[in-house]
Amino acid sequence: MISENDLNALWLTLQLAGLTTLILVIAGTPLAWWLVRSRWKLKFLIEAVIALPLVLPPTVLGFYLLIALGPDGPLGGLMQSMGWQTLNFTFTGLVIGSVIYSLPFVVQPLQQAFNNISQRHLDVAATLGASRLDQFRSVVLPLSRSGYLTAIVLGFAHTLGEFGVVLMIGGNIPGKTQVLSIAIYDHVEVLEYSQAHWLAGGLLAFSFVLLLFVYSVNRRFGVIKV
Amino acid sequence: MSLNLDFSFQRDSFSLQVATQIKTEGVTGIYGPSGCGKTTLLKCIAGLEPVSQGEILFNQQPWTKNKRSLPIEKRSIGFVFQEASLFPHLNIQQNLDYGLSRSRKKAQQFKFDDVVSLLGIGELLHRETAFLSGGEKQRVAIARAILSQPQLLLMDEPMASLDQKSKSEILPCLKKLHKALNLPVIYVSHSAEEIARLADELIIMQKGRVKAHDSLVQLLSDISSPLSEQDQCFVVLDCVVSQINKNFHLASLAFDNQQLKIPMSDFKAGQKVRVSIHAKDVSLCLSPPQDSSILNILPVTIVAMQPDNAGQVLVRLQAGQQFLLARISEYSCQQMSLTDGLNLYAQIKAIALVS
Repeated sequence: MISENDLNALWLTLQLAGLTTLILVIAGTPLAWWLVRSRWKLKFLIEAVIALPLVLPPTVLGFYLLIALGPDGPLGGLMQSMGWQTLNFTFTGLVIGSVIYSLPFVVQPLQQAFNNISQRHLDVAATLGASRLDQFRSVVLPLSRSGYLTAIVLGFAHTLGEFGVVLMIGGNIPGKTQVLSIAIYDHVEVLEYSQAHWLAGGLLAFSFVLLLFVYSVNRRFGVIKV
Repeated sequence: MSLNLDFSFQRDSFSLQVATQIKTEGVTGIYGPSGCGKTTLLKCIAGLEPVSQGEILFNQQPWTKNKRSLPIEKRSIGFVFQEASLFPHLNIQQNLDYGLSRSRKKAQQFKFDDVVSLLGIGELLHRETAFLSGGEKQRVAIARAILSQPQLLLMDEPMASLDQKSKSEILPCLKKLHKALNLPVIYVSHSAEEIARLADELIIMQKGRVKAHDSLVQLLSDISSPLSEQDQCFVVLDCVVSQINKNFHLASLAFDNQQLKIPMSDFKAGQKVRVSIHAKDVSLCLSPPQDSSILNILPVTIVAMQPDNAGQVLVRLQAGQQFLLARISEYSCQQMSLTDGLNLYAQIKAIALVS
C-alpha cells in the first residue's frame, strides 16, 4: 500500500504543480499577449528562449539552475549577500525550476489563443466604449477559454511528471523536495515494484483522465465558437 | 455642429491629407475607388488609425490635437465595419447589451426597443451569432453601434460583403434610421448607387486627397467629378409628390416648377422622394417634341459639356435649380450645334426611384 512517505511526495507534487501553474498563468498572460502584439524586431529571441525547455534535457536546465541558485552563482550570491538563504534544495527552488521548465507549455497555448483573436473584435469593443483592460476581460479572456484550459492542464501535468530538474535543484529530501516521480524511482531502485506500481499507475491514470477532460471540453468549446 | 478635419496620415508610401469640415447632420457619403483612403479617413476619425499630424475636432472638442489623441472609447462614435464582427461568445441580446451597458451618456437617446424594431431584429435576440445570415448579422452590428449612444455613426462599406437580397433588406432600414433617430452618419462606399440613396452631402476622395466636397445633387451632376467618368453616371433629383393619377397609375413629382411623371408606387401627396436619372437615358431636342411617347420632357439649359474622346459628350443641363446629365454622341452635338447657354428640351426615357 501507499506509505506515509509516498503520500507526502504526492501532496508535495500537487502543491508544486498547482503553485507553478498559478504563477505561470498569471505571468504567462501578459508575456503571451506581448509576444502576439509586439512588433519588436528581436521578438524571436525571446520566443526561442521560452521554447528552450521543450528541447533541452531537463538535467541540463537543472544543472545550470543549480549553479545559478547555489552560493557561488549570481542569484544565490545575491540572495546570500542580502542575508537570505540560498534556494537550492528548498521547495521555493523547486518552484522556480518548475516555472522555467513548464513555461513553454503555458505560454505557447496562450499565444496561440491570443493569435486567433481578431483585431477587428478589439476595435469593435473599443468603439463600443471598452477600455483596453475591459476589452481584455470582456473579449480576449472569454474567447481564449480553451487556450487557458489547455495551458493550465499542460502546465500542471507537465510539472507533475518532472524529474530531472527537480532532482538537480531539489535533491531528494523526503517531505521537502521529494516529488512523486523521484519517489517512484526510489522504489524501483530498491525493487519495491508494488509501491512503484501504485504511484506510477496512479499518475498514468490521472494524467490520462486530465487529457481526456481537456480534449472533450475543447471540442465543446469549439462548437460554441464556430 | 461640425466635424473639423485638418490632418495627415502616413503609412509606407500611402499618404492621406484631409482638410475639410463635415456637417454633423444628415448623411455624408465618402466615395472613391478602392485604395483612395476613404476607409483610412474613417478610421482616423474613429481613432483606429493614428493621425501623423494635424487635428480632428468634433463640435469643438479635440479628438486629436498636438499629437494628443482622445482614446477611441471616449469618442462618442459608433462604428459599423464591413464585416459585422459580432462577438462570437455572446448571443445577440448580449452583443447589443455590450455597447448599451458601456454607453457614456446617462440618458439613453436611442432606446433598446426602438432600435431593435427599426432594424427588425426582435426575433433574433436569443439566437447565437453563428446561426444568422450575413444581412441579419450586419443589422445586429448596426443596432449594437447605435445602442452605444453615439453622437456620430461611422459606417465603412457596411453592405460591401452582402448579397443583393441582404442589401435590399438593409438599405431601407438605413434610410429609416437616420430619419427616425436624427443621428449624423458618415457613410463610406465605393457604390455610387448606395451613396445616391443615402447621402445628403458627398466627399469624393482620390489618391488620399479630398477631390470634392459638396451636396450630393451638385456633385453627381458635376461633369468634372470622377463620378461622371463612369459609364453609369447619373444624377438624383429631390422632388415632392404633387399629384396621383389613379386611372393611368402615374404619380406626378414636382421640383422647382418642373414636373416628372413616374409609375405610381405607394405614394402620398406631399411626400418627399428622391429619383435618379442616368445620363444615357436622356436625349436632347432643340424644339419641344409634340408627338413623342416619352412622358417626361423638360425645358433645360446647357451649362457645361465634356467630350470623352470616344465619340461621346457628357452634357450638364440645368432644370430649375437642379441638374441633369445627358450622354449623347459627339456627332449629334455638332449637328445640333450645341453650346453652353443654349435652351432646349431633355427627353427622359427612364426614371428610377431611389428612396
